[in-house]
Amino acid sequence: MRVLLVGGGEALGRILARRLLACPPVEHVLAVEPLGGCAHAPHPRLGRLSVPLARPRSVRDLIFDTARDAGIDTVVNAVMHGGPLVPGGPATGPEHAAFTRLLLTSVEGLEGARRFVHLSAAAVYRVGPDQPSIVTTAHPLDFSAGASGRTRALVEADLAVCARMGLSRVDMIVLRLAPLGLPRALEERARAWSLRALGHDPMSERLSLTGAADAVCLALQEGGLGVRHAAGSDVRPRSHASARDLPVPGPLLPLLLRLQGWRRSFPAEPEDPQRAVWSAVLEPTRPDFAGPERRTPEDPAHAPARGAGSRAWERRATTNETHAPPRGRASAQARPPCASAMRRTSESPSPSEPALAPARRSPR
Amino acid sequence: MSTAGLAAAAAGVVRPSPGAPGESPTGSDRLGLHRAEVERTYGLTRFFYDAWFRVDAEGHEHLPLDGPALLVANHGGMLPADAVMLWHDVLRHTGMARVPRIVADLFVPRLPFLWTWGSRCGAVDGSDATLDYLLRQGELVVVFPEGAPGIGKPRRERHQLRPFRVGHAEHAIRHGVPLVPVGLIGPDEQWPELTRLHWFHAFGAPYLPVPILPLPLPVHYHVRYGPPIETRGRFRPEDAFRPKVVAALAQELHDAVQGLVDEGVRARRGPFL
Repeated sequence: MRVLLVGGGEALGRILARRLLACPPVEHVLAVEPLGGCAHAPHPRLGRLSVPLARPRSVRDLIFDTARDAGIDTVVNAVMHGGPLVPGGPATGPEHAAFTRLLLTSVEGLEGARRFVHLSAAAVYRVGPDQPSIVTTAHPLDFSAGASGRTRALVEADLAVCARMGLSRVDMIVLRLAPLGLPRALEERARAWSLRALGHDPMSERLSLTGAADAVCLALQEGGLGVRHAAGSDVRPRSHASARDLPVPGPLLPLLLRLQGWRRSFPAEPEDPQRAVWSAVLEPTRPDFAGPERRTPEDPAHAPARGAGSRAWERRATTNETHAPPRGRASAQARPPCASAMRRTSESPSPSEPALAPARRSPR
Repeated sequence: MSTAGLAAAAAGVVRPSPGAPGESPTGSDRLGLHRAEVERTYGLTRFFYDAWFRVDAEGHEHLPLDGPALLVANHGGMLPADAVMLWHDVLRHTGMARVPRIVADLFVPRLPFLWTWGSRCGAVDGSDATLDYLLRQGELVVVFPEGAPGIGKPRRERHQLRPFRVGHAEHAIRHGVPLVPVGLIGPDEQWPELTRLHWFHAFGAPYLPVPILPLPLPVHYHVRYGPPIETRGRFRPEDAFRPKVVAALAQELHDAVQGLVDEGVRARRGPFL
């Protein structure tokens, strides 16, 4: 498998390239960045390229010249999670959606292309008090007039890929990622700035960049086509995720989050204001799509402050023989990044867990 | 706690609900259930369960100790104290190993503070996706199919169930889970209502009830669990898409719950005794 990795920003692109190279089926990765300066570590099977993706001619040259010569058969579009396509442009804007449509059309014309993976985001879903807390792939998308420009661009790009799904010779996978977290060191810093929502205390969901990268690897190995969810393994009430519990009423929280413009300097998605007020947690398409970094109570950096009552529950749970063993991060890290995927593909799904959905011709 | 519940918990035959701290390091499941909050609320509601409403429950042998199930109960009493008492009763008689996931009406998640507390104690929004998720996870789900009309029925129509909605029957057929009818006797007389402010729709509420008293009356609650109605083997999953089949099952449940309520009303000596 020879992969063309488009976009992805600095952090996600770097981690994704590293994880893809660790997957046995991947022979070569060609990482493309719109503005250059992507700090990929040198690797004999990794090619780096700087292409102005905002120019259609450059995109066509990339696909029909560079990618064809490199024998690319799989394209991963992470541009919706990357930085601006033009210097000084928005992190995610309408030009990203237009680029996705152009890239999709080009890939369909590329001889030898077999798979197209589009990294979408959970922000495409409508969130509100009249919506379910558990977001499945049947959840309505956000077509509301009040949706932000970023959300509209995400929905447009997402639907552009979904509309071609099953109609093209290229297998298309749309991977909707939970809100991306930051690398651990930065996440600790950012958490100190998050504000507690009084009144409404929605569940906060975070997917680490490593978890997102692993979900892409799993989706590539799994094959087929359809919409997949990569949910965050770290789900907790928003007030619990805050190191400084500032008493901020829930309805004011979106405004305050918008004022946190400094966060744009981080390579993470900006906070979705709706999600700051209403709970909406992605249901993972398969259990290991929830990311391998399942935090364990033994991890001192992330041990939550719990009362005596909670400890009593833990004792009760651990002494119960029928209780399923936790799927800890330690066990996941003991294996190579894609070992869990290889192991799971040879097993039949547990009766208690939903079976992996077969390849669908229509995502929705 | 009953002897049976204690024995079951001690023997380890009661499976903790999914989302226990062993699986969820933060202590919360994906829908916000938090064990420590459950224990705190259990302690807070103990006074109302034991002393105020003096809840008298029977038929716990019908309460499933494992696997997904739907408890279907009648609703009444202006404010949902019956849901809280049923929640407490299930916790007490399952050794606190099964946290009932009470399905709330769609406007309830808009209520600040109250919903935060409720969701941490296991309440969920009444949507298809959430119910599907819970039943797949093997949870014990509590529904009040009468909905808001049931809780707001006038005193002269007490103990007469409103027509059931059918969503719970559809999910039971689709997932093949048993339906346990539950009759609650007492809530209909617990809180006399002075008037209703129909112009009040804050947070999506249908109206604002104005009670005569600040606290509910200390009526004697009776909780009666009926024998479960099995759906596995009796229905096929595709029957969930046949409205007549679903409506018939919902009506069967309605009759079962009404029967439990009628039996309880006949058996008791009075609302406060």
